[in-house]
Amino acid sequence: MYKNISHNLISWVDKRFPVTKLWKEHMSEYHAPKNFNFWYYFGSLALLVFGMQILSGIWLTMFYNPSSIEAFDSVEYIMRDIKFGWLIRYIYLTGASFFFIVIYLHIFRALMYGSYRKPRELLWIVGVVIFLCLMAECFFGYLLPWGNMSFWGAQVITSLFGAIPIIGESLVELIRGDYTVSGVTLNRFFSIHVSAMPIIFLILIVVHLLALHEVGSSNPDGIEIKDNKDKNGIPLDGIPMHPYYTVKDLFGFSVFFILFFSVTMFIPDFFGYFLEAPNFTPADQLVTPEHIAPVWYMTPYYAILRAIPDKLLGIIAMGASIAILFLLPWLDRSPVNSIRYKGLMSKLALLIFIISFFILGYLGMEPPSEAKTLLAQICSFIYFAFFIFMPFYSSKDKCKEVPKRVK
Amino acid sequence: MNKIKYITILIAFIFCSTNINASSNIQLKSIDIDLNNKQSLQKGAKIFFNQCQGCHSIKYMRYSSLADGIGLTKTKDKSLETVIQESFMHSTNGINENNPILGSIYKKNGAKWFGKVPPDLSLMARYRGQDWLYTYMKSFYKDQSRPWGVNNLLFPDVGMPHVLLKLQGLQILKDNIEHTNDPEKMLELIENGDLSKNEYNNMIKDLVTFLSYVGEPVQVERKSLGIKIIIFLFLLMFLLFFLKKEYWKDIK
Repeated sequence: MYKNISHNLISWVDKRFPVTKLWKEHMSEYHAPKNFNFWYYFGSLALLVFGMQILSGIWLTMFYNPSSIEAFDSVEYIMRDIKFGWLIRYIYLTGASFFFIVIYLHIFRALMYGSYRKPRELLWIVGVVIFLCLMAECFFGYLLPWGNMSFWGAQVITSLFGAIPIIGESLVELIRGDYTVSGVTLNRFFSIHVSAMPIIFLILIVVHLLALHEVGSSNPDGIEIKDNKDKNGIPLDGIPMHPYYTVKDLFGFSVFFILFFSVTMFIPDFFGYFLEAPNFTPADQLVTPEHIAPVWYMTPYYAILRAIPDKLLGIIAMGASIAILFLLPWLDRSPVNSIRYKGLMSKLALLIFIISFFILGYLGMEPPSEAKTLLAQICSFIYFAFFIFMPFYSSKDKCKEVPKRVK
Repeated sequence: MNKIKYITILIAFIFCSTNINASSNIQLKSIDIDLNNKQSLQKGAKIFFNQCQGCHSIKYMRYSSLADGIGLTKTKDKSLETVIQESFMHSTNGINENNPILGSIYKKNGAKWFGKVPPDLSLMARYRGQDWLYTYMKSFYKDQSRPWGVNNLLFPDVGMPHVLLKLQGLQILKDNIEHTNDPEKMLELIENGDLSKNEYNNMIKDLVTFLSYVGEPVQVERKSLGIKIIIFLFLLMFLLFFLKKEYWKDIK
């Protein structure tokens, strides 16, 4: 009886909207390689965190008040007077940092297994745009609690645009809506943070997924599973997304939640890295925090910015450090996709690149000194060298032979 | 091999450069506080109402939620107002129990008398940290050049007078202190106060415990809820692990 009704309902809908077709295309008959390892959890995890941020964000927006007089108070109102307001806010706060952790690992996966290579160039480019979006979203959102670090962080970052010749000064005014960061800036950042950016985000995520499902997922062996199909046209090494990867990802979600809630419930400020002490005082134009630094996830780029003595050149370098990611699919000239079959040079290059990225992240949090600036310059050089010399070392490298089928 | 050497030098370089910056600050005394200790919280609250509330507010805290949090409960014949009045000798005239806890000073006067409006203390423990607050309250010393006759090691030229002077006694800055950044070695008590050193330390500890509670009233509840969540998630993880295994057993 029940089965009959649901069957009729679905066929009623199917005649009007391709719900079964979409389900098959993207879930039950989307074939993903069967050899996904640990690193392939982070795509679905990013989607999970995005959903959590949207939901918890909606609830925070119900109680938050985006005016320079009320903003700081309203955050404390959420923390103290709203039932479980503190939990929602801490989830949101931890979510922001975990979003970056997940995305950084997701990008590292792509670097390791060559997920950006032909035919996935557009998939990669859309991904980099999403990454840029995430950084913009976090920058706008960071001002909202209206703490002193929020204020001065926004003050410093917006002032960067002032270094652009001719239009710089007026551009800064345009962004701030005032001569300095003020309540006007807060209002527009709030609007962008809760409406404009999430819409762009959502569209980009859909495009990213459509592109992925068009070309198919890569895998740790870097072999195209579509090259080996059975007589029904199904890849021999592919398995349906649903139920295999849905149950696997559910397991991944539970492990992720254990880590996530360990931070949320026990160390929500994460030793001052997720929630900095100066942000417990309201924004004050007259009192600069002792040391202004961005949140940890922005620090590698901030270190590149500061490594160069000239302000404008620094900004260009910072922009280039992201922009160069767009070129990656054409810089890699290796005959193989995956790090498993690449030679020593490529492996070492990636290792040194990651180490220098961590060092840059550390340096971006620290107050500058002569030695640290020098180190930041060396690491910035390594950062760019990894990409610029890639066409040479990747094509000259001695690669192993790639097997015909995935292991 | 060369590259490994290079990395080692780089890493050594970072650690060296951190150490250069580490010195030159006053060393903070670290303390352990116990937020489950209701007695300590109540003693701290009493100190706050007697000594601090004249100038400082804790405006994000309400009388009612404070009373709940530090274990003051109203009984049948006593209203919350009476409980607060009895515990803290605090007049409750014109105060609704849900009102925020404000200081009694006028902002204008505060700025005139101290050069700066005394800050709200709701989030001070989260801003400065418990060790800082503890060390700060022990680091006042005699300095005739300051309007209130005292200065502070941690917060040079602070606008606040040493409110607890009568209890702690008067300290002076020793002469040869180049080799230490430990405030206890830098300062010397020259006039005894009403309390012994130990009693004073315990009192400050209670006050810091109280301010730490005020900084994030939900701390204790958060951790106990956290344990339940983590236990639940572990069970869920095992369940999902076996579910995944069951589905995947036919994949070769």
